Amino acid sequence: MSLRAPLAVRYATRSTVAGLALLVVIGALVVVPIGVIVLGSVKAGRPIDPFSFTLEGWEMLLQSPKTLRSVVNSFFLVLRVPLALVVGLAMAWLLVRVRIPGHALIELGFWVAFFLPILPVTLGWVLVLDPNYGLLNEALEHLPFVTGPVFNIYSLLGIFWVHFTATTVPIMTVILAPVLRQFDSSLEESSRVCGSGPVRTARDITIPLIAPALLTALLAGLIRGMEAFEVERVLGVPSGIDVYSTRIYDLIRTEPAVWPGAMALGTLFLILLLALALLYQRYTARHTFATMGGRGTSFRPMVAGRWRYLASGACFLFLAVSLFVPLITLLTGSFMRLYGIFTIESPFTAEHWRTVLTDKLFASALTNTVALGLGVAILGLTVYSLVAYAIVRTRMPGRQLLSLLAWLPWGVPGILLGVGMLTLLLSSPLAIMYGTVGALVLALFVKEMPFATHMTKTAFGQVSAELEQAARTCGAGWFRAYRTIMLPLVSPTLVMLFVLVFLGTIRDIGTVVLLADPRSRPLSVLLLEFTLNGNLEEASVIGVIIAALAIIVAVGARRMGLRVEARSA
Amino acid sequence: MPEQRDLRSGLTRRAFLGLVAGGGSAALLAGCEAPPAAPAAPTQATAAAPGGTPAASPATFLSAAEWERILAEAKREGTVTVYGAPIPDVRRAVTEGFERAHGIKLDYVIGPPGEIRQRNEQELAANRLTIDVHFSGVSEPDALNYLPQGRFESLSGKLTAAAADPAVWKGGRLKWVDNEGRYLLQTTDWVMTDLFANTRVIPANAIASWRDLLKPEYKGKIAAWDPRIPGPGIATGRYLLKTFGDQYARDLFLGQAVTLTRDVRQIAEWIAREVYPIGLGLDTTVERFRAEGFPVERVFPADGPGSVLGGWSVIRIFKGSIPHPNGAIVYVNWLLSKEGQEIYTRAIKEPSLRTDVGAEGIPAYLLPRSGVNYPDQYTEDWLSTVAPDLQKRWNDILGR
Repeated sequence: MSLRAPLAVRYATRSTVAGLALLVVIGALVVVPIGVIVLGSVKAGRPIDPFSFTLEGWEMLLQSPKTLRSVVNSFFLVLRVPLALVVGLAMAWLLVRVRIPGHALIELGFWVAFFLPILPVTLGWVLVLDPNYGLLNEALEHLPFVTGPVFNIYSLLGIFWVHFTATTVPIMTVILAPVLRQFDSSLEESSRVCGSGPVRTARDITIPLIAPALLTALLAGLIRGMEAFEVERVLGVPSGIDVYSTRIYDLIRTEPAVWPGAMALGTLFLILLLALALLYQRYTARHTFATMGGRGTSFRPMVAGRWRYLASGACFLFLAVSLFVPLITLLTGSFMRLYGIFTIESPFTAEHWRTVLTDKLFASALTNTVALGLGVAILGLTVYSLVAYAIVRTRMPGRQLLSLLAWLPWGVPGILLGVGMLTLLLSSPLAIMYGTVGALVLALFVKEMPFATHMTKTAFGQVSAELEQAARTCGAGWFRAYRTIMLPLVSPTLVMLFVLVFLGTIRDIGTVVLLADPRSRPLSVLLLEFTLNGNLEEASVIGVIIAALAIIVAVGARRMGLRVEARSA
Repeated sequence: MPEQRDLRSGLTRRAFLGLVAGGGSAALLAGCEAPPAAPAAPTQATAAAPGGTPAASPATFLSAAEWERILAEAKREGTVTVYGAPIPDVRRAVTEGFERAHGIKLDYVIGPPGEIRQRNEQELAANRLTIDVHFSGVSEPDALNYLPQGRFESLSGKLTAAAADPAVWKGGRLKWVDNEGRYLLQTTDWVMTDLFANTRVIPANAIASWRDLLKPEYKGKIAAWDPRIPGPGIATGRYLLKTFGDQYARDLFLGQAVTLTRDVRQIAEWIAREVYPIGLGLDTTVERFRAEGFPVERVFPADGPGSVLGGWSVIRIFKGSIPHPNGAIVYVNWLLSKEGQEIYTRAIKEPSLRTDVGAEGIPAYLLPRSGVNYPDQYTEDWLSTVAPDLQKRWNDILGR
């Protein structure tokens, strides 16, 4: 594309100004909360106390065997992420590229599995794998060669299993399916024409081309895996298993709170994240990964023989484990007098549904949930995609820094990020928003930024620049090219991200507790209230409602996305 | 700035108690008769006392005119924002009761105490408070940070005689947690739910002494709320450590391989399902299992009756620009009223310190027995000196 000199200068100046403005805004939103945490690691006392230098937190971090053990445990548990990435990729490939029988149903199943609230799901697994009363253990004990419980859910492997089946594999499948949809299958066909089998084609063509998406998913999975809290609290504490997230919680919530220790641990992982993000950035900067060019794209499924039925059976089997067990226990639990206890007289009741549905807060919480979820998802996707576009498609100064900044909100666990966000909202010009729904939307927007921005960035990177260049040559401005070329082409990823941001927002508890005004509180606060009191039955009701909401939005967004996709095809 | 301390702060506790015992209390109490509704005129009565001891300086009640003015202002404010027990039954009952009584909207903030404290601390530092009244438990920061820093608004002079008439409160006095008797007003008082057993496995009379728990047959059979972590078991842990010492705590928790949890439901279910037939530091979640016929019983070893505390029932207002200052006063007075206490205590199932509020529906094991001298974990002295020491010792025993 050639631009006349004055136009080019004007474009470059405008791009520089816009880029710097974006950098300043995103930088301020991200750096202040993160700065509070980094500074907190060398500061004595509470976050609100005046600054007084100390290395006590770092000394504690390096000298406490408990903390070090928690770090090791966390590293072990996040090994599930690369494993789930492999399984998820295989599943997504079968669903999208092979289109095995029942692919639409299986994909929806993975979405649903990911939408289920984690606490009741964990307790569902306890019901099955508890060493004392677990249904599977009891069944296995009837076998002649079995003398005691075979499985123990209260172990590192138990935690690993619950995460792996309930969240990690489903989310990897859900993330990677749209990536494979944005992939010109003629590349694979060429490979096959040259005599390569499906495995070699996947190894030599498919995987290298989607490497940025795989790396983004891996990095995001590793970070989120480190932060996981609920499953570890319920299954880890009884067996003395500490992980990074529970350790930070203990340091902050035990009297006297050890803020420097918690902040140092948070900073350590922030450094780790930055190192990983830099490696990721270096790798993606050196390779081009456009999978959709200007010659048109083909989405024909791969030809597969009878084994596709076998593959379909395997997917259904996995789905039965990751969805059937938790969904049945969740639904059943919402109708039980005592969650998971069948031995009492008349164990079933609809009372919990009545209690929740007639709660005066329910209607407003439901409305707030939908409004908040849609608000953050719409605002977020708009801004995240612009940020991603600026990073991928412009030469604006500081775009690499912007890319790095966009990872930061996930560099520290939510409990610490909340403290940082509170500081930002109470001690900056943004204080005028404090106590309003705007502050909550802003905080959730920052919280959801990393994955959505980088996944959008990856999706934009899959689209060859020649398409836009053609539009610009025909006289379209950048925004028109962005709106009519880029967005429709990456719509499968945007739809997936829209739903994930929506879900992340409506399930958020940490940020909402710290920032929500009582009038803007969503359903997750009611869920928290029931959970805190051990009212798992009512919590299950809310869990079912949240999952149903997410499914409705997922199906609606998917239909909209397909329509956009069809229009642009 | 801390408020000016009254005369009492210059006296030792013993000397002060001596003064009171010397004949002052009856005379002081005489001035506190109040009408059942709003007071007709300014009234004087005893102020607070540490652990319920009458104070030397009398508190002034709101006059009827002042009350009417505050009520009218509160109605103009339209709303009051409160933090209270994150228990759905309590939230619903208190919200409906208050709104019905005064026609003022109640915004009930929901959240775990740790997170709310974090939020409140940062709001205090920025003077942007969003919660008018906190009706919750007390912990060390209240005594170690907020009281010395003068962070609380004095409730003295903000109460009506109808609500705070000492004659209708246990022992003829209001129960304040703070030594000055102005800031932290406690409204319920109950015996901590320290020890439960599943009687199908452990006969009720098998544990006659706390030391019985050290018997070899109970090894691996006990579950407990982690005594280092805020929650129902922290009071039990502190009581045991204070009463029986470090070696006992070590022998029990480490020697008997006690399984720890931080989930109220998990521990109650473990005891009910006989996974661990003995439980330390449960809360009333256990009532849900008892109601379905599980044989889970509170056990009272003879050598340790347990301690008393006030649960979620301590009223406080932070000093600063709260959004609804008049609504806050109306809410506090409603909570202290007979109606407010009936509604609250029935929902939370804890006995009120108001003598005209019955204990119907409240588990008998929560009611303090007459003649028993329970250590009180809801006093400023306990929170500022005893609790931090015990917490440190627990952290040493179980590791930090």
